[in-house]
Amino acid sequence: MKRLRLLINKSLILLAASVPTHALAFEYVPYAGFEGYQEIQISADIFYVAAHGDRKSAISDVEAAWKTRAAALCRQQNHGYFTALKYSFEPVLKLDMAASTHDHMTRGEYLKVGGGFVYIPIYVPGPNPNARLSAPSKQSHIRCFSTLSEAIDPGRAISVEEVLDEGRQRGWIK
Amino acid sequence: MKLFIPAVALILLSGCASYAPPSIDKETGRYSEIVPLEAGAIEKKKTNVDLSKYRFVYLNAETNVYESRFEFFVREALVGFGFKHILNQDELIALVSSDKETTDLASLSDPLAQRKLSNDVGPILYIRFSSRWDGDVRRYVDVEVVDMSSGETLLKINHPKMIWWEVDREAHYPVLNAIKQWTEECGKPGVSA
Repeated sequence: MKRLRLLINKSLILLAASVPTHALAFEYVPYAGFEGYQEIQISADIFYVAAHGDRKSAISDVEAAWKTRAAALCRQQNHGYFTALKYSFEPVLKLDMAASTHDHMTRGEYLKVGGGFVYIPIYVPGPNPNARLSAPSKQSHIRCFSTLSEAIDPGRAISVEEVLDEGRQRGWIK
Repeated sequence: MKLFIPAVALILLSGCASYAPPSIDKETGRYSEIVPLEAGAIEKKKTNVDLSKYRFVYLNAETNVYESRFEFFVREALVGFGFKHILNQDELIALVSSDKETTDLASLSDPLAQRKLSNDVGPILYIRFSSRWDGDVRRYVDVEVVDMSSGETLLKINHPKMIWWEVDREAHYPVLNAIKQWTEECGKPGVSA
């Protein structure tokens, strides 16, 4: 009985040691199932960027990590600015405007899909009777670009260098 | 006995790391599932669908376990299958709010508004991907793909699973492989805005 108790104690210690130590503070690393950043490249200058914290992470750290990763990706593409997009094809550059107008004009041409319709609620999630696990995350599309003059609204532009400086101060990047 | 309890502890911990970057078989291009779907898991599949006609996907990724991570996990898979533009609820509302053609919509939940929305800013392919944890050892994974203009269900998958080893490989990967196969049977989506 004593040996069994000893074994259980050892196992509990092993369990405690197995819990990632980075659970205590946000660690700026590629996401592998616990916390960190990850991205999907949509096109040459558009990414979907995410930063996931754990239960101990402050949302401010998670948002800073998201910005840092976004800036790092734009820097890799030799861009000086980025904007968080409201959706992946939101027009944010002056160049996008012409394409957007064209899209409006041609939109109706390929929409004639016949048949009835079904109620699909836009708002779906409701109260959940089961257990729920949650932690802070920040994710959205970004668009990288080179100069402020390209942006429709320069006020939304974020400087890559400024964000990278902040990331350096936090010790996340060199 | 000495090894048994630590081994069980490690197995339990390995199961916790869900929604990790996907493990894909390089030869087949399929997700590395442990067991395939049961034969009856696919309740509906229509394959003569031109996926290239859809302007974007409206994704409703539901879970009670780390919602944001799960949404990223599903998005990444759909992008890999060829769906370029994927909008969640907030993004869809942002699109509707910014579009001059649709600002007269009184309610997004109205069925007529749904149809108008798909006709005005779409066509939209609606994908509901739900993964519910029962608080114990089961996951209930449901997927429904709907043409939002016609209301027709194109693909429906139901996959309840007891998790023995790893949630992604047992509950999620088999369903993702079924969606991948469906997109291949329909032809590449090539969605563009």
